[in-house]
Amino acid sequence: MDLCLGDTGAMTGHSPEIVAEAVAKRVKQGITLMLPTEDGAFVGEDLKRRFGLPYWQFTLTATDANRFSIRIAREITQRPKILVFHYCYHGTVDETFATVENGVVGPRRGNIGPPVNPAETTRVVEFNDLNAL
Amino acid sequence: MTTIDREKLKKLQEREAKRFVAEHPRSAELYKRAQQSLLGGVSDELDEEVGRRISGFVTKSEKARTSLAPTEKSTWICASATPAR
Repeated sequence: MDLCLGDTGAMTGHSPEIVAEAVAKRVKQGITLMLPTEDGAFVGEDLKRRFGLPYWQFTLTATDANRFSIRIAREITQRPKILVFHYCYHGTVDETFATVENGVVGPRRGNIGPPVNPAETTRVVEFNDLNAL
Repeated sequence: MTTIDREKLKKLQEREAKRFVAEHPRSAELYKRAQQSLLGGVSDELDEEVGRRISGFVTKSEKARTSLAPTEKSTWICASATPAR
């Protein structure tokens, strides 16, 4: 039993047959990630139909998706800082490698080579601490 | 030092964009259609923003070749990332 259903596995289970077959078929047509594909145009439309959000962008990893999301959020809100929960994992996004110890935000343990102290970019709260949130 | 003639470059880009549309009407159609559901009408807006007037839509890629909609003629376009190697 996989007790660590991370990311996609948590949503669909591992390698559902229909997906594995579709991926194998697509791989034989080539994988190019700089130019869009005809399938990509259809998928954008289908995601729009299913989830009601007008515009979509494809990324290869959750980290990349988080980076795009943070940039868009900053642009919309015009707020420079983001908020994360203490010790949550959001991929390798620099701003998210922050923890809070005794009320002080700082680099998470193992955060190698941060461009700046994450206290400059990030606020951190404990999970379920509504007052802090 | 030689400088880039930006005006000339702009005209050349516009000319090539028109030619691209004429030669790849299906890609042009998909590009227009995708602007209603994908940011910038492409899969990755930042990756494809440089110098873009229009984007080709890939139908098939193999080794160093990529085919754009609708033609089956293989074209060297931009072997990106891993395929470039």
